[in-house]
Amino acid sequence: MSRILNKKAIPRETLVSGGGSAPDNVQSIRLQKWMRRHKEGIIGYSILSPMILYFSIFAVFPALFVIYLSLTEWTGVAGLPEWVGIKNFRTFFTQGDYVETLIRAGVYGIIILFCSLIIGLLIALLLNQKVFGSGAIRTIWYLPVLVPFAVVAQMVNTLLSPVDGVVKQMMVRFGMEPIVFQESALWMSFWLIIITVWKGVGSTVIIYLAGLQGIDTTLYEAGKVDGASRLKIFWYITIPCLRPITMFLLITGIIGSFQIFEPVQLITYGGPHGDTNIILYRIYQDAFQAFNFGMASASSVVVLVVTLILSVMQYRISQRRIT
Amino acid sequence: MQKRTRLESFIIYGILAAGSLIMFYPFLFQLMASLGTNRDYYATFIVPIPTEWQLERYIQVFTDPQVYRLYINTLIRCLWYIFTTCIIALVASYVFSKLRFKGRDTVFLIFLASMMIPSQVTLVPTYLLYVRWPLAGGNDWLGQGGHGMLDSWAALLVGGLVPVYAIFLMKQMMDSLPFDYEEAARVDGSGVFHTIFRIYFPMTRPILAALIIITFIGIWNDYLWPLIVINSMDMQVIATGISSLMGEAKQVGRVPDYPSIFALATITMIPPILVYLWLQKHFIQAFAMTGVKG
Repeated sequence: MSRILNKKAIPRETLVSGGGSAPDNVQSIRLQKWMRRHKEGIIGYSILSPMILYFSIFAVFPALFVIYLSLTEWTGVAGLPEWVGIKNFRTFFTQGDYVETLIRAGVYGIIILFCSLIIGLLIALLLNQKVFGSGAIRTIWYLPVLVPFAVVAQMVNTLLSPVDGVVKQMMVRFGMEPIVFQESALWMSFWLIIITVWKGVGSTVIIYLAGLQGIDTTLYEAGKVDGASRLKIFWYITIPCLRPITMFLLITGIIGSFQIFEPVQLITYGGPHGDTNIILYRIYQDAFQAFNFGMASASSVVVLVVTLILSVMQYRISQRRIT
Repeated sequence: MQKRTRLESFIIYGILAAGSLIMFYPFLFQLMASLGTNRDYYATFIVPIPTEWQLERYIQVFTDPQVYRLYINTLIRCLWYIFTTCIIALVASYVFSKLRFKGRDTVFLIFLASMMIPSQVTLVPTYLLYVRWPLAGGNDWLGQGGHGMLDSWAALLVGGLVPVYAIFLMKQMMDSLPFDYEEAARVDGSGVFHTIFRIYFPMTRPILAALIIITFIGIWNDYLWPLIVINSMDMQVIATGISSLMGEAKQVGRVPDYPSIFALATITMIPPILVYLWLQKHFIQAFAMTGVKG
């Protein structure tokens, strides 16, 4: 094999490189052949390797590090973490308001999700009816998604102020007894949910609208030919076609409920008495106000596990329905 | 579609109008409040009506060097992330979609799996990674001693440079393009980057437009991360800077100037809305094309 290679290739090789001993050439030709055969792989990996390196530092490492940190005690950034086993997790499940904040985030999330799905689907269905000015209406619904949540939250904070908030003044004007919202967990939860739905429902509308426009029109025609009523067409064609999108929105929505932060940090401060505190704000308090990184990591790991379980569950359900 | 009866039209437009009014109400409120005076604000009945229209709050806010600084900082950050996201999404999705080699799909799956981990789960370790980054901000090679990448531009620009969702979206687009383009490019002896930027770049514009919108809005509105890593005022970004300026403006012991507070809020919202209006056509198209069909 190598001899054939030698005879055929050496002259050309010597022309190019201008000499060199025979064994060297054999090797370089083998290398060239190998390079040619694996060209795509070589290009692929040389492009991907910086990304893989970056990815392992900034995505894989933190994910593993958080698990290690959750098993340690570390107050302050200086010094080294001290191994304490599952102490932090025991604290999470037995002391303080950790479990409460986790459940509360889930409850808020489900309420927000429910409202957004209903409103989003309704508006998308109406917009899909060839209405006048649908572009403008769609834009108006999408506007809140575009603006910074922190600024919106700060604005709402101004409006709800118990001293000179506009909401209070309007209540006085309407002859109502002004309510100090900040004293009531129920009212603060109400505002929190309203604001978050207002902020996010636009993307639900857009996604549903894209889904509705993606439905094959021949399905509707077939339904019409078979004499189905509009309600039946909606129930047996539109709804099943939107199921994958609804699943997608459910998954992202439930995971998103653990990401609510700005309204809690800027409007309710988790109060009154921590009654509107939710898990991400709890993690933030632990890590960046108390510098208890171990405890914050333990909470993060719990959130991670819950998220993964939910994702897998939703995936299973969606698979089962399709088949 | 069958023809609508008048009642149906009435219901459809009624619901849409009422809903849109509610959605738009806060924007209207803030705009009106920012154009009036404090007295108009206190006299609010549903929406503050300015007795004398004044634009000077906006001039005052825009000429404030602090606000100016926030704008510049955030714009730099947005441009940097738009640039890197588009380039990396294009190149990586090309590799994942058009080149065939061992381990390609495994790498892609690992990338995808990372999307299952919500970013706030890794908030604490990522923060520590930045603080303990070796040889940065007074740290020695073990990462001890200094404050690492905290409170520096690195903290604002280093994270999230392999945007998996963008690669995923772009790969779906690339997969939908026939392989003939690739073959033709190879026959003509076109280099990899030449192929990517001369052949695929023009064809993937709708996705790029969508990525620009998503990235711009994401970075412009990013709050939690800058809040954690940036302390000094001259490196703050819009979301953290303006919301703390708004908070300061009505602290106890000061007479709050509500029109300026609302003017501050308004100016943070204009750029993302403009970017959206500019690119929205592609945005909807991208949604429909890649199909968020799960």
